[in-house]
Amino acid sequence: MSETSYYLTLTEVTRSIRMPEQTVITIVDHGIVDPRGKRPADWRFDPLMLITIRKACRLQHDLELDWPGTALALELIGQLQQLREDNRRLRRQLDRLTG
Amino acid sequence: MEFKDYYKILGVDADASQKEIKSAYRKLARKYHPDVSDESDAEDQFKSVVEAYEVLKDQDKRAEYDTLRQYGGERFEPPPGWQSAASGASGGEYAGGFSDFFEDIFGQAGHGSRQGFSRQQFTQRGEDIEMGLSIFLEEAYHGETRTITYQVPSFDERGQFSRQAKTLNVKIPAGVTSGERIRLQGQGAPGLGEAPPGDLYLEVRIADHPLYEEEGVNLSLTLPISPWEAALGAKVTVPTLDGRINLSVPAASQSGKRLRVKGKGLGKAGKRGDLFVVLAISMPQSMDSEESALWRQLSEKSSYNPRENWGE
Repeated sequence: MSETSYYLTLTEVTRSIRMPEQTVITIVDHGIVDPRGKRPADWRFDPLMLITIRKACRLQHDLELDWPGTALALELIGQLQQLREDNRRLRRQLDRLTG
Repeated sequence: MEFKDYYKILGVDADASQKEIKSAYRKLARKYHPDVSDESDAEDQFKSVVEAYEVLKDQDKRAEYDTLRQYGGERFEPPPGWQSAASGASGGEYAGGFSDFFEDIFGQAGHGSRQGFSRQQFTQRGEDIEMGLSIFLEEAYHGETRTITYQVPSFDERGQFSRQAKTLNVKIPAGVTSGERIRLQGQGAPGLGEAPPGDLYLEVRIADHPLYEEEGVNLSLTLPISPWEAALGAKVTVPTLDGRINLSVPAASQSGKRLRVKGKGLGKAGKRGDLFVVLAISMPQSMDSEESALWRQLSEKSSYNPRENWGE
């Protein structure tokens, strides 16, 4: 059985995305992810945050965005996904209510 | 090999300025970026756009490409002895792996950053692998052990690339929700040299359930009730993922009313969500004369007007 683990440290995140530590700190400073812990050395990222950080790096690089623009794009993409998901669920619920 | 018309891909003329090329790229990149677009072929489209921009944004590469374009037709082979002076690529993560057409002209680049290094010279942590894990709601609720098989990229001593199948038993944590990632440390691609392997991330996808809907950590269940159960109240047996429970429907319940059953949702231990039972008043499809008479009697006795607020 393989071990599942729930949190990553700053070093682990940096190694995983192959980006300088400062990039991750900038991403956290822009509120794109909000790890637990006060100081960078104490930060604990959950796996979903790592995926968001990767996405942020891709968008920033590929679309030539600045970090505030990246943060806004991610927030809007997140909202759009949430709305799509809500819409899908509510439609199914409506079908059940009227079915 | 098919000739790729990079100008056509970016939708610009062959004499387009650098500014026009950049602007066309930005527009298409926004449209097709796989993190933004929900078009099914977004990733392929985006790769083509990045590849085209990689060549056309660079004066030297563009000049070489323009030279070869003169030979271009439907089919393309680079001239014998062709060697690019402008090789190399700097594509992003999604751009990894340009087309054979690109590599024939400009050489292997992009994803080839590790190729050409032997294990002795070079160490690098293995890549993380991400894959989807589709499970049933029952498995998410109770937690299960699942056997998964996936492909792990590896490099031999000579730097040759191959993929190997790997099988793993994974414990799905009880209460896991859709979209959550399960991290399996060290189960990603092996590292190069002495470097450690990457991790494996499983994206949990819960299949649609015939009865329940997910609402984050909460679940909802639509419960059909008869008009008289809604009017008078009733005790109803309701299925949960932990077995059946008895639920009290209060008198004068409206359709759409949500009754909460605590702790029967998803989420980690101690933070379990709830099950919401949504009432749906269901009219009988047919009535006999006796039933009709009872409804008529009720309509004559009752002063209730559901459209009271509409005014005259």
